[in-house]
Amino acid sequence: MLRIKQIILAFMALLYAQGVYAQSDTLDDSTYDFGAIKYDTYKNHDIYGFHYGFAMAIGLDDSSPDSTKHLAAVHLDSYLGWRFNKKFSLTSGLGFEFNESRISGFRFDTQFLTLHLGGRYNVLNTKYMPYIYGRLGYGFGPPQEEALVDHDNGVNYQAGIGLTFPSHKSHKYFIALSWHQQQARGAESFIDSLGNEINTKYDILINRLVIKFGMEFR
Amino acid sequence: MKNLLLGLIAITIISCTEDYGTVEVTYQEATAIYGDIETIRSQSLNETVREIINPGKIYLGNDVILIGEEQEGIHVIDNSDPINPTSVNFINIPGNKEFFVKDNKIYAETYYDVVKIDISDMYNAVLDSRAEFVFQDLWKNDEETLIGFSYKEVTTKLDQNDDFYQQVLAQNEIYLDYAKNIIPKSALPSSFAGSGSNVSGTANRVTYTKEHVYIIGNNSMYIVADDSQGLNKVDKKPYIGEGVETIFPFEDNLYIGSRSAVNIYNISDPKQPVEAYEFDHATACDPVLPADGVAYVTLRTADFSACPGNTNSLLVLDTRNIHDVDQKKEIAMSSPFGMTIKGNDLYIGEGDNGLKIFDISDKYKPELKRSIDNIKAYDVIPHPTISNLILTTGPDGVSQYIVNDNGESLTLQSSISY
Repeated sequence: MLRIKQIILAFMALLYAQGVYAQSDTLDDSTYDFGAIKYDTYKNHDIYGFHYGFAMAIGLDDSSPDSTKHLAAVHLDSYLGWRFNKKFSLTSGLGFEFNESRISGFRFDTQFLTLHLGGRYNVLNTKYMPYIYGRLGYGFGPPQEEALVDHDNGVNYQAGIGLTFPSHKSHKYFIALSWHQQQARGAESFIDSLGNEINTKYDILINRLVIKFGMEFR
Repeated sequence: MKNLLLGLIAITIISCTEDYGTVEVTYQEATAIYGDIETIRSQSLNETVREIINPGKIYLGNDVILIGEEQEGIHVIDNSDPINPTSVNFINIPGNKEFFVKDNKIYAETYYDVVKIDISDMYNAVLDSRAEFVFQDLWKNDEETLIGFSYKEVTTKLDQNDDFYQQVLAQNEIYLDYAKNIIPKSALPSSFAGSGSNVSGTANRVTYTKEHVYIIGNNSMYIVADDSQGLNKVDKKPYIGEGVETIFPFEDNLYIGSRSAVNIYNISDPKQPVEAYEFDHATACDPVLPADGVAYVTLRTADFSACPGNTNSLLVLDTRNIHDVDQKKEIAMSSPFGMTIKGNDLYIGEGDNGLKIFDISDKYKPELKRSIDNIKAYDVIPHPTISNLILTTGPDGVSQYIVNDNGESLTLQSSISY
């Protein structure tokens, strides 16, 4: 299981290290070339125009030894975007998001097809480019005939910090640590080991820390 | 400054890893009922007729219908005239849910015991024998004897950190132990135990063969011998599977249906059933109907039911070799419950979705012959002596139908409503 504190510390160390590195590798050492920031190693960051990308996010588990508090999340995401300049871009995307929630000891599984709009701001124009981003979306629940998951649609939003790795190819990799929230209302039925039925209706705010890995094209 | 900003972001994120919200929970609250077991055992057997309130198991004799009243006993109905069935007696069996009938003898569970009741005279049932403490020894709590639980539907709203669920798991050992050992109610709302022509129902928890009574709990099997000494418990198989629901004797074997498998036990030695084969299937409620070299299995699931899932089908199993059972066919169904065979026809109750009749001239390849949507049937059984009469149980009661033109149409004869 991933531990939150370990992940946070590793991520902070990565950002700090790149910050130190940036002092000797700033924009002054690079050149603009055909809408991209190009470094002496021929690796670059694009700064203008259309781009698209794919990402996968995994929930960071609670570090508690109590298994009833563990929370899982798997998000698959795709997006289209437009870069306005070296700092700012807007995106719109489509994602599939699976979350496991635990409220009062009950486990609820949710599935959302999410449409979202968002923006990204590159904090520093360094070779390893840190950024912050946010997005607002609307998750569509599964069709009612779906047998075991029954919940409504709901608003979601996500914000996080990330790091884009430079590349001279048409694609670049990025990693982000994100805070994800999703409104979820639904019903679920449980059967205990003796066949007794427990019916629940839940109204929850899924509150999840996820680490996101992705690949972006131009 | 940058590091401070990153630190603040990190702290904010760390504090946001818990879900928020409320859960409205609806469940059956079980409350212990205490009593004196000797007083219960000494209660009179025959009582005045009463209204059918909560029907359970149903037995169809040559001229009698027995309808179980859950937790209380059995209604005796004179059916010598199928057009005008008349309630004539009520057999008091406290705590009873499941029973089986063989040669005018009722074998019924009652709290800790199994009783054998002679109904040769339907107006005056007689206790033949009792095997005490078949399912477990006396449960006591604060010097009082536990005889059961009453149930009440409760709805409550829980906050996110309410430990209701953990408390339920931790503080109900006595309920769990008791409920695990005592025989639960049938997986079907109402179903046939069998008929006077030795046709057995497909949703029984109690059955009789080879002078032994076999009773299944949630995951165990109890064996009671019925000999000249009366009823005597001879064995308990503590674990035969998870979610065990039905038992059906056929030749030298017991076919046991659980939520995820059909288990075949060989009873060449009736005191020592030996597992011969386990056929695994999708998780579902699953009555089993074995016949000559074949077994029909209905798998039923539904949202928010005791049988969650999305599988509704009829499985056809080749059982000529019980040590290597082979699935021959799977037929999609709507919501199959109990079934029976009448001649070359397989009748399957589909609950609110009607009644289906399959032609099983080729027993491994059933062909749908007729689907009757307006007869809501949980279970179906042929009359033991009137060859063109079948009975169904449904949400509204027991109905008797004349079968016309080899199953082409059914004509309602009478109904016992509840």
